[in-house]
Amino acid sequence: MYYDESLHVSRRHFLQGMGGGFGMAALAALIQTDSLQAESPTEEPSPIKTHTPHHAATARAVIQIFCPGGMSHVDTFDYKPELARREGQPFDTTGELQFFASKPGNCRGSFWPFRQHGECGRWVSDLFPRLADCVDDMGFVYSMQSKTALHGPACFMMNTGFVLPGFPSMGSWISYGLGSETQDLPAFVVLPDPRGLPPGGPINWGAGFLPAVYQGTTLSSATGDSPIADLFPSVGFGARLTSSRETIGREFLQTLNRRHAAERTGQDELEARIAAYEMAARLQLSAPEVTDLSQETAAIQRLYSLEHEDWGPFGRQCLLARRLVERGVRFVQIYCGAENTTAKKIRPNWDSHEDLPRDHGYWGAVLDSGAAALLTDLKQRGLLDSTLVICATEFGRQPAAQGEKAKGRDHNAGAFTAWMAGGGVRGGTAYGATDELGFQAAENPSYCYDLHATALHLLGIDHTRLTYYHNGLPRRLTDVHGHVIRELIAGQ
Amino acid sequence: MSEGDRRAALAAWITHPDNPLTRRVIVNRMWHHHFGRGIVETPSDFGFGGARPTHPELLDWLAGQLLANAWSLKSLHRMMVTSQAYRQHSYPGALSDDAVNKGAVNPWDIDADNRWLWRMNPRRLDAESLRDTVLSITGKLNPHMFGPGYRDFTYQEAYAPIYTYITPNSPDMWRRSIYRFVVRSTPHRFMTTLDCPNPANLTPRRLQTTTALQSLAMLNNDFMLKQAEYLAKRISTEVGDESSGQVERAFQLVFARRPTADEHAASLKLIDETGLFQFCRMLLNANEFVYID
Repeated sequence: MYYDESLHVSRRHFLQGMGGGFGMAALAALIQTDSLQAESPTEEPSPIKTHTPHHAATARAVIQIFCPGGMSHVDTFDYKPELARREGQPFDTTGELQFFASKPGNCRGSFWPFRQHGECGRWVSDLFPRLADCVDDMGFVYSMQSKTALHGPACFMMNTGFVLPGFPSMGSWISYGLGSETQDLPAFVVLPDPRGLPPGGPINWGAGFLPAVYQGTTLSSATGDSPIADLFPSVGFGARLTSSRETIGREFLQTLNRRHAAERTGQDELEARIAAYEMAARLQLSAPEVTDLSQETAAIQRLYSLEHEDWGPFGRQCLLARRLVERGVRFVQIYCGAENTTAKKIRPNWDSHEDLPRDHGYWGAVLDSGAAALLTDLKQRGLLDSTLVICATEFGRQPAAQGEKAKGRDHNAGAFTAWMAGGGVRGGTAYGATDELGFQAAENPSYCYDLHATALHLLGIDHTRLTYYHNGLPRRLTDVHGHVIRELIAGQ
Repeated sequence: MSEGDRRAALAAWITHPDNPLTRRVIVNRMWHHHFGRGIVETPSDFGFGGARPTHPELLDWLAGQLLANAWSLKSLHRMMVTSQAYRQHSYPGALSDDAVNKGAVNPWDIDADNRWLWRMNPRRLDAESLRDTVLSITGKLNPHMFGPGYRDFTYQEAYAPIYTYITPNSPDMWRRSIYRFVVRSTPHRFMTTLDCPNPANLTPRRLQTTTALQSLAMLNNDFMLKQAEYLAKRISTEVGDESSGQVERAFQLVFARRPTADEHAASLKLIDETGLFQFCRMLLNANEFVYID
């Protein structure tokens, strides 16, 4: 029987009174402080930790950088000399190919020259001069594929494993599987691009059918914004609700609630809700503290280029991610780019249909600066060993040119590159390959399932056993797919 | 066989008196709705992957009653809500010493999850009910029925459409939540935080979570604050500026009962120190308001 009633009813310690079962589960998710390694064998497992992993973890936290719009692999990490040799020759001699929004133009080599870097000698284009210095810490998957060339569904796929909306995101699954290491901040935090949300919006960090406590909490990284929605009273009410009035009000509320709960012994959900208000008060202190980057040294602020007009906002997101992980947040997702809008000066994300040198030129420098700073900073603090950094996009771009000036590239679901670093990843390695032009994944084609399976493995989770019953099925992040990419794991 | 005949045959099979599955499923959904948990805990899965019924005979009897009542759902609703099981206390007091001495067993010790319904399950207002209840208490609920739903967002044509939610602050947006225009591509943050499920999923059973973000939304969301202000205005209008009467009226409206002497005194103190608005806001955040028992 798939439906394991014991998951829901026999954990009496936590689930006293079924109506409140999920309330307590939610509370446990927020205050869950045991790490995998620290789990006491004598302690009854909490509802969110019923899928206790089998193997030791090398990573305890994840920072995922997502580059929405579709990053071109042939201009960044996937070196294709043959494509350069065929520069200007027809890409499709049959005339039968149809790309997402265009017919293929001629072959178009990388807009930036490639060079070998590090001891591993991996090729990286000149778009990423700083990241190129980090290649000995990075493991690449050159053979990524998607099942769709549409931005929203492809973003959903990379985040949830499904092209349809409504499935739990990787961050939700990981919070569900491992709980949180902090009582003061949410387990799963999302840092959208300050310009706006990515294609598909909040569905990308939704909890799907998992309890809402596992959904990503968006934290605004823009200076002056309230970091979390509704953290403080809305505009116009703040002046009337001074902090002393808030304290008095909260004390009244909790007295009322405690008296109410005292008459209702055994209803743990009431206590959970009282605790949630106390946690909310703590969040009002901890969220502004974590977003206050003025506490960082001048050297760190320079490292992340916080003052740079173009790179500064993403630098803030990266620095915030490090601060969140330092404080016990389990999964941080950073967006490097926003939803598409019609091009004005530049595209608001990586979707470079008409002018790739302009748009990748802009976003490449942004990513290069922030991501390299993040890797450097994590490493110098000794955090990189336990923090898995993943950089992904929803699909790649075509090796053939697009547009009248042949300066753009169309969507390519057939091939793209993802990389990981830290948290047990063997640096300088690579897995899979595209064909000689970078058109399709040719060797070891991989999907998000494999990336997800590998990430979960590094966190100590067997991806086939992290399940949640929903409508007759024990659902998984990796559905019925996924293989751990052992080639990228240190010591394997 | 024509398509119409085939569909008629399917309908006849679904509703055939010898096919109990259809009736079991619908009466279980009704039971789930009234009691917070179905006799079968997986309302959309009566197969091998689903849960087993806690009360199989009851399930079959109810399914039979549906047939006996000519498939009238209303008569079955009436039967359920007038039943002894439904009308139980959700928090029966502790056993007396006398009962314990006579060997009575504390039900918490044998059925803490209340699988056998020895008490009523307390219910938490779901996102929609909570919003409707707030509007009802403040006197702002627009009871208008039928017609197109309300839209509490602005729409902007762009490369991909952009929906931006706004605070419902006019009668056309104060209709019951069932009339909410659901934007599938942009979940409603306030509702989602309060466990309103993603409309992309079939959700036979809603999950209930308790989170700090819910507390923040209840305390600080613009809708909640504006409604707390309306509640304060309503109370002042109805009973005037005298605090004692305000406390009585507020408890009556929000909790449907009178305050105890202690509560009355604490409320007077709060109003004195922080004002009627803060008092109203806190009542709308109370457990007693959010839980029905």
